[in-house]
Amino acid sequence: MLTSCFARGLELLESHDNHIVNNEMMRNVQGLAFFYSDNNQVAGNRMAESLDVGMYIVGSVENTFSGNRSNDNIWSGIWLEGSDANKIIGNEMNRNGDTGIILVVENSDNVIRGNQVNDNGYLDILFPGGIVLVGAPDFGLPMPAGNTIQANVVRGNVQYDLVETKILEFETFDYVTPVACSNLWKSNQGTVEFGPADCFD
Amino acid sequence: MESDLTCDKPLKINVSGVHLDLGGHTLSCSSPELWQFPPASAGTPTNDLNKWISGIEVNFRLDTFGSSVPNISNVQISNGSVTNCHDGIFVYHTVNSKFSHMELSGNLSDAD
Repeated sequence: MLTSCFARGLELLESHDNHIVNNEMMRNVQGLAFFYSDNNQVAGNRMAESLDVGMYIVGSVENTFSGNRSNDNIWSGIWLEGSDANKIIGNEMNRNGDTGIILVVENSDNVIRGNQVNDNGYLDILFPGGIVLVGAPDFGLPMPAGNTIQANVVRGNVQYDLVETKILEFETFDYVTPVACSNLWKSNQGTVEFGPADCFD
Repeated sequence: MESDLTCDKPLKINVSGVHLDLGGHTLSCSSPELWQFPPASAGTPTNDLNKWISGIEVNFRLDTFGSSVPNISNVQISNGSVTNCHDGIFVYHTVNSKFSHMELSGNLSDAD
């Protein structure tokens, strides 16, 4: 099973029902990574100054991330890919170089609520913004769908605070508005949005 | 946390129920050798993937990727530091365990 060769502070592979609490993960390539690991509780940790992302979650379901601080990482605070029904609640994802919270291609039924996601994107690498949901359906990579993004404070991010986008070109990665909104965006405190007009309330 | 040179080899936990309080000590990966908990015995698989050395490895065995392996459970690791490794802590097929109050920093060594 391929998990890529990035070095991490803590890596879980096919491990379930664990508690990861009050740890410091500083200056790793990635702070925390989950691969095919479900029902874990991640609370009160600090991930910072990672060369890649603070938290990298792949193929993992029903985990809860709460009260963590994933700030000042080169890429993203948290990156979810192919991961469903996770809860990301009450975390800080600030001052990351590209994205605060990003869901890439097929992710569904995740709840992202009550997070502080501010001042991200200053390096403008691929997906600059606060909370970004991105797919590439024209290339067979489905949009994230059925996720709830609610009551987050998302301010001061480069380009956009809230983004639902698809990719048409893998060289430029420019944001392109999808035909329809696939997720529920509700009561977020963000000022600059990109996506279908009916997405954001 | 200051480096603790008395414990500078990666630690392998491959049984259930181990509660490891590092007492503020630091593990670093300055040596490619492994020592195991419990100590290696006849029939115990060894790790020949030295370039993937992690500070602490929690798994029944490392050389069976893709195979069905049993879970280990009820492991607790707390109160220490792991640095200068590939992964600080690598956890495979482990359930109902807890990792707390660890400083996992400066783990930057990539395999390739």
